[in-house]
Amino acid sequence: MENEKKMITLKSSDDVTFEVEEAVVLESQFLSHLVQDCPAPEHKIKEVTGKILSKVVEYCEKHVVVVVDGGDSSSSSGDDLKKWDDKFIKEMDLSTVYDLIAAANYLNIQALLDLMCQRVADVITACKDHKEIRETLGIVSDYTAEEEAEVLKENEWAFD
Amino acid sequence: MNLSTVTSSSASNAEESPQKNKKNELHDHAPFPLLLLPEEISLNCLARVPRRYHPSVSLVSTTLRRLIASPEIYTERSLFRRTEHVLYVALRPYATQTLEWYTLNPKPFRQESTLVPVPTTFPLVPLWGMSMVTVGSEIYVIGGCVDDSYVSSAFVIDCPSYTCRSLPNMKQERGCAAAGIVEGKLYVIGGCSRLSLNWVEAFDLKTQTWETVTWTGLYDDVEVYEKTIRSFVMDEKVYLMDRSNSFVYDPKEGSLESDLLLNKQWSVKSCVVDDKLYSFGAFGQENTIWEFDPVVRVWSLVKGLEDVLPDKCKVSKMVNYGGKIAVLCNLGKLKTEIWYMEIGLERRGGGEVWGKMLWSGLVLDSEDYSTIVRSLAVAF
Repeated sequence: MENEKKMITLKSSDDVTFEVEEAVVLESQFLSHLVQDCPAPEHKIKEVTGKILSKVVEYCEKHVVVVVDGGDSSSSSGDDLKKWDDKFIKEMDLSTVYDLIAAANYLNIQALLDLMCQRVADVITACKDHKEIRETLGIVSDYTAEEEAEVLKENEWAFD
Repeated sequence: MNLSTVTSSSASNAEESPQKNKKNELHDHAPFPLLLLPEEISLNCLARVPRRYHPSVSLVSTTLRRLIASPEIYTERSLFRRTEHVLYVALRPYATQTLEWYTLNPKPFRQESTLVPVPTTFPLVPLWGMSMVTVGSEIYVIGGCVDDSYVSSAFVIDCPSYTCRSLPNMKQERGCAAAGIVEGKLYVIGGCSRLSLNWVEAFDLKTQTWETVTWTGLYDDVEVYEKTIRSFVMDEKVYLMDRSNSFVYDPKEGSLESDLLLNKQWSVKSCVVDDKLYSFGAFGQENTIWEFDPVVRVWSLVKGLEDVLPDKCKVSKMVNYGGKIAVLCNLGKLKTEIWYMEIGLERRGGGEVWGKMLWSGLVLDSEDYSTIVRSLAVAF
């Protein structure tokens, strides 16, 4: 690969543009294929809004820097990255998390997808019981009263 | 929503947008629709939820219940290195003399744990004398006593599914053999007459075959009893204790030697964490834990546990529970009352080792009297 930085423009569904280095785009398997197969200067990503794409770009830019630097001073940058990830997801509302999961899945960015799934898991464990999990995640119970009683009985030890 | 079908293989024609009709679905959501995600993503999320919350998650909805109980959860967990250790405890009730297996289950949203009977699908194991070694999510069960005689059979229990697969038979029937894994081979030592040509056998985990191992040593003519009481692997050697001596078997050298320094203070109530032995009540001090380092060959007191440990006589088992020391005590007189203690270890300046009581509490209370016969930790 050439050393000089090749810039690529990504355009969101609502026409917000982001100019990024090619290395950033390569964090996404989907976009890697796209820029290789179609060497246009601008790529429209119809499935992702500007709000979400800006988050995706922010994440990929942060992560690409560390990989490039990784050769000599890897351990502290690994810790820094972890701290950055923690901060990145900390105050994110669930609707953004969901959109990012969908975007990361679509663009095939496994690390971002994993980070967002971790956020969902953290939200679940921060609830105080199953009712709060339902409320927080917007899930409507499809149990009949009898079924729910049965599941409760199966796990009686957990709730006494 | 079907975004999961978009993978790198279909990426090349994605410019034509194969999902035109679906593009708005990404934004059409009022509540958080975890269940609308492709199932593999829901599994990715749920596999990151610690096991203690599983009962609550299964109460949320039928789909979550199905997903959290699915075998795929364990595949995902091991993929993300999110496996947790599960402590198995076997009790032998005085009345029936059959083995009853339990797992120590942490309760959701509370710092409490309780012993819960395993599902009835848990495989049958010999009543006594079997050697049990855990490898990740599997328990190797070797030899033991069936219908009053020792057997040469061996099998593996897969804990996430509680299914069994049998292994080839050993050349030798054994009961109470020492067992431990060193460099991909499961060494089984003794549990039979020392005159047996197959006194030591090794099972290669890769090729799944047994081989007889020759050994030398014991020139000082120390007696080795048939039954081993405890055995551990430290520093790529198998340490074994019988009723009067302790030995170390070095697979690399093929040698067996007695170890007097270890033997002095090694108690049945002991376990190994990070290649060091922890033994309860050494040096005549009832409520202490001591560490033995097999490399520098020194016994040292685990500090910081003054006034929190029970007397040695009350302790039944010690086990390495994911790097922590789990202590099980049966305090019931004519009933079963099992207390559990979880101790974290920390190394401080000057090489001192400190213990910290992380949690202790009653984990089983039953009117029937039982003894604790086994405890082991499995990761899945």
